[in-house]
Amino acid sequence: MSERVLSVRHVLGIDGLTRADAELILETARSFHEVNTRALKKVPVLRGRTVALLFFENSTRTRLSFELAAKRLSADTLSFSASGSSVQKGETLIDTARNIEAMGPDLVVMRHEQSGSHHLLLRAMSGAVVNAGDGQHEHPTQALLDAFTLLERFGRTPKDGLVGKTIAIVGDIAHSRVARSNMLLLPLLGAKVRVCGPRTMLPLGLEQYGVEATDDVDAALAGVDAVMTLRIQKERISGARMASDRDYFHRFGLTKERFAGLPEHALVMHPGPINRGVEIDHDVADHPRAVILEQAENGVAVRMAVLYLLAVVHAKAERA
Amino acid sequence: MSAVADLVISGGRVVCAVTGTDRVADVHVAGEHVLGVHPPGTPIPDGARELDARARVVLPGLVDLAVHLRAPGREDDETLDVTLAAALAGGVTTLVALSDTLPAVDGADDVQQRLAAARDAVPHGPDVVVAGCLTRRREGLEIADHADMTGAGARVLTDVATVVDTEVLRRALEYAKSAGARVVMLDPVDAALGKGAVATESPLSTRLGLRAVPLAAQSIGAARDRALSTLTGMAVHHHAVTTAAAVSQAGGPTASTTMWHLLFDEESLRERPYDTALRLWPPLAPAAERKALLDLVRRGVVAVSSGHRPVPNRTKDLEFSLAEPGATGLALALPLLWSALSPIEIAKAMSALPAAILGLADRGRVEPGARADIVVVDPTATDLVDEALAVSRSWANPAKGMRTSARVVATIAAGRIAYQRGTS
Repeated sequence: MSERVLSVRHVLGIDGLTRADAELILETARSFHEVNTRALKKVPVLRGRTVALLFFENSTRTRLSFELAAKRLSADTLSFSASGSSVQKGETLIDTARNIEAMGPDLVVMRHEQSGSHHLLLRAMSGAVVNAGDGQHEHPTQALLDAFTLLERFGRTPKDGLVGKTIAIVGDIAHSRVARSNMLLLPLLGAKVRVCGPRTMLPLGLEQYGVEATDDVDAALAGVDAVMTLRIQKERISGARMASDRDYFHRFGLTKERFAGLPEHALVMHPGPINRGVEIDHDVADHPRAVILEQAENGVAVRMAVLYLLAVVHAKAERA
Repeated sequence: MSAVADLVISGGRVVCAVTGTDRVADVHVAGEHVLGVHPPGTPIPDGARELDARARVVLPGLVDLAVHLRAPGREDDETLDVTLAAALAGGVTTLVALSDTLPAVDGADDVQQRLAAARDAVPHGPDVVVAGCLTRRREGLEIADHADMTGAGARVLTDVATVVDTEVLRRALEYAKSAGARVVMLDPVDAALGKGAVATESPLSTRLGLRAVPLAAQSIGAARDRALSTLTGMAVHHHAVTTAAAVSQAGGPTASTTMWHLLFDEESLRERPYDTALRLWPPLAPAAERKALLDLVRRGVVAVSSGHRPVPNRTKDLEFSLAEPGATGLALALPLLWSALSPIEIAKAMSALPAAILGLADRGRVEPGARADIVVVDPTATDLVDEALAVSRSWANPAKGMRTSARVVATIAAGRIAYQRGTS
């Protein structure tokens, strides 16, 4: 059997990945997930390689998750976050990137508040680039870890995919990169996806993703296998998108009553951080069917898989 | 006007939208004016210079309604002599210098300075029509010194920005009328709806996660301006419209779009995601809008400007939303639009119509008595769109690396050959 490799040299989004790419990442993540249950959680596959972590936007869990993923692969890490960096002195992204490039990283993970900033980064970087969230565009590793979590819980393999499963994504779809990546990945894996929110949070053109859009949360939740509630990102919402938290919670939140109305096997997901009492009820967030902490755990294995597979692609390109 | 021609542009296909001319003819020029348009082979007076235009197209010089100068204030990005040289290289013989310089054109001194600076930078260059501010410092709060500025030669008033307060806009239009301004140019975009937008709202803006303005913002802004123009009696021109829905087709404000909005639409952004060369103001619209606008241009309803807005790499090589909108256009408009419009459509949309909007009756046409502003085009030569062709040092534009479909070989400004290029 020939060695399976990704069809892409960078993971800038789910956009551009094939079904085979998604399956390969998720299968690889399963092996690394197993590694993560061992007492000695480290494999030497990226020994001698350097992973640069560029976080131009505040992040705790994603940054820690990528850092841990890189370390468990035995890579050296180079960490950069915007606070206290040269960005505040007015340095452009491309200049910062060139300086980091001069240190010779093999892999570059970037989070940035501007959509599409990775396209600019590519101009300065020779290594593989991984998008850890760009503005309102994509957050591919989040969608991959969500899919991974669903597959594990449903007892499916990546090859099986999510055929026959219905997933609802509820919240601010318009401003959410997590929603965009999931609207691409979950249908790619065969799932039926419904997105829901007030019309102020449903952007134009959702049909291009092959998802159903509705502002009726009860219709969206009917018979679902999982519901993904999105954080109401107040820092991204300008002007009149939303009424009070209470008004939103009553109309669109995952209340105890709505949770009780879900099928008995239905899972509750959230990319975090959670606003309890805004998009999700306090107790529902802690319910055994809420897999929020599993998502965080699985994130490490998925990111290990992405870093490893991109390193393989680049090693092959270097040999060629 | 002297009675004997001192310049004859011979043997070209002369195209004029005003007279409906489209035939091979000799254009006789005396002093600053056209003396006559004669059958080819008409004797050339002794001592007259002959410009051989065989196999060339002879059009009235272009009148560009929207040129953003970088001088004063941003000379590092483009000096005035370069702007004017780019204009001549593109066949532009009259251009509106918008008020958005640093400082803005806010009073009579500024108008005089701009006119004098243009004369000094390129003697016998394009005629510069200075646009003054509609409101003081373009802030949208108080009426600028319209009468001082029109007295000093400003024909146009504009803030190059939406005047948010409708009461201020109403009074400014009334005052502009009394002060003798020919036309007020407005940006027909509802300011609140357009705030922070870098794309036109569409499925693509959703896909790319870009802050977007709905096209309705232009229709809303245009409707407000149309009503105020009727109320005040002041002529209004909407520059840089990107949707046919914002264009008044029976009376009301006149409209123009830019070359880039006729040549490119958001499909380019789909093919070249986050390419900041495509970051323009207004943002590129969906393909159907571009096609509808192109139809209005062909029908002679909408004028076309270069929208010349040079942006240096310093402010272009940034994240898409942070990059400065704009593209250089003066030297590129005619050569690139040649494939999209016929010669007579170009003569109408880029010369006759803008001249009429500015109330300049002596140009936009090739006929006896008209100002001898003429552009000679080689319709078979093509050029690579590169820095040299764009003339400007700040030459970012969506067509970089593409080829033009025609070449400007000579530009005659007020009877003088102001630009000439060989055919290779």
